[in-house]
Amino acid sequence: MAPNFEEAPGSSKRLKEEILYRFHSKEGHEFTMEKAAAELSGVVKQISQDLGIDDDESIRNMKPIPLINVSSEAFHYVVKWCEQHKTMPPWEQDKWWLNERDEEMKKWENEFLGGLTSEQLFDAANYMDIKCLLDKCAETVAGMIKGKSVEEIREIWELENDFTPEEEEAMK
Amino acid sequence: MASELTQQPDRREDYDVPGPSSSIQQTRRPIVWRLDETPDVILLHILKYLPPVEIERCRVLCHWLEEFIDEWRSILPPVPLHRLELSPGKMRIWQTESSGAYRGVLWQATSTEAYERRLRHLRRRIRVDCLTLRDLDWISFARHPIACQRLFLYIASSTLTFTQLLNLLESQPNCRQLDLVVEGTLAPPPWAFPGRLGHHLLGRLENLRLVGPGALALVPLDNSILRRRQYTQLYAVDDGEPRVTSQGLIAVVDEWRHRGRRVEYIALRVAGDEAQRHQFHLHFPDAAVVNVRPEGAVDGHLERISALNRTSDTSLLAIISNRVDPDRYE
Repeated sequence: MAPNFEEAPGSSKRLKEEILYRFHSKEGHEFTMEKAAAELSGVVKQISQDLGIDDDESIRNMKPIPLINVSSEAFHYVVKWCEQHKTMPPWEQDKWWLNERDEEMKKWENEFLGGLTSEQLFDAANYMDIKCLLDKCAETVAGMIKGKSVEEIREIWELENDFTPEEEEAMK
Repeated sequence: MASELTQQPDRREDYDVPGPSSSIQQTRRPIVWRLDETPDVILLHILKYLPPVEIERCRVLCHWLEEFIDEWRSILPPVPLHRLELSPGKMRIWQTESSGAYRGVLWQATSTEAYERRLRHLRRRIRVDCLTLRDLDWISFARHPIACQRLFLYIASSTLTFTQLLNLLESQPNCRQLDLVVEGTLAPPPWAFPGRLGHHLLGRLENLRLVGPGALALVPLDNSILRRRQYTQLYAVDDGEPRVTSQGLIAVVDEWRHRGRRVEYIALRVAGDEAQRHQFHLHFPDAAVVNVRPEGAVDGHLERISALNRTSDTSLLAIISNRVDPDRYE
């Protein structure tokens, strides 16, 4: 069967049919995100609620949401994350054991965050209140600390040991 | 995260993002952000993903992390300890390792101040299952009480007043088991003490073990206290005048069983020569029988743990032990 190019991402037809939120990054770039993906963000949901936007047409006509603390680069990754997770069950922050992901998703998440070297994505997840991403970022950074000695952690995070020998002795 | 932003892209497709179909290489690049510049809420989020022991390890990395963790102590998980044993000048901490084995670490104080400082330090950072207190400086401990699920108190050479004991037990709101071993005697409690102890403190216990005349002086174990309490286990060794009768035992066990309670077992420790001359039977209304026979001498006492008929649903009896006058058995 021939591929349906009209349904391909970015096509004009698809763009017309999709319900997209629009955003302005810190640098002023405009981005879009599908409704289901964007609503993973607590901030987006709250803004929609505050503005009384409860139908698709209103979303289409909505002005871009300014994200003054989110860089274009970080937002791009936020979009990728949210689109990948838009069909997942709601994130349970307190009942974390209900957030089990299948192996394919785990692999994707680990690859996605495997090269996490900047706090920008973490900041964006926090600012936009995307709990699943925020938790995954925290888990990833915690994984960089877990099982390491004090000296190793100091080295990785370039922390200076500012305790006196007496203070160190008292802490033992 | 992605490479450095070299130019301002207009479309998100300009970024090369790893995804399910990508074949990115897992390469660790140097971390480019500083932990000390991380917002509090994010740092807390990270700490919550660390085991409590590792959170404590982060405390000793540098001053600001120590202060940060102490500031947010109330919402961070404490280190779970299997057992903590406190004795004069010494502390032994038992932790469960990932293999399931217990590992004990002994710490010795160089001074009373150091001991108290350590108590204060531990109190905020640990959650203890079993706490053993052996002839402590009870006044120091009262200043920094550590809560636990099971409390083992050994009093031999120290002086613990009834008021101190009362306060100690009141500092243990989640305690479900109390083992009180008192070698020697304690001064008689104030008249209101047993009532307050019984109603407010012992009533919430599930397991109670009393050993030594001092312990029995504290808790007047008689038929009435047996019937009032809902213990899963009750164990007492009393060389004094018996206050629990066979009728009392039967009534309690009968009541438990009629409430549908599974009773584990009953043990009767019976004193010396008299017991050797008798064989006792406790008859229960539903024909279950506990045999109490003098077998095996232990420290001048005879002990026999006998079970009810295990084919019945209520297979075993709760433990009630006391010096019981053989002639009072039916």
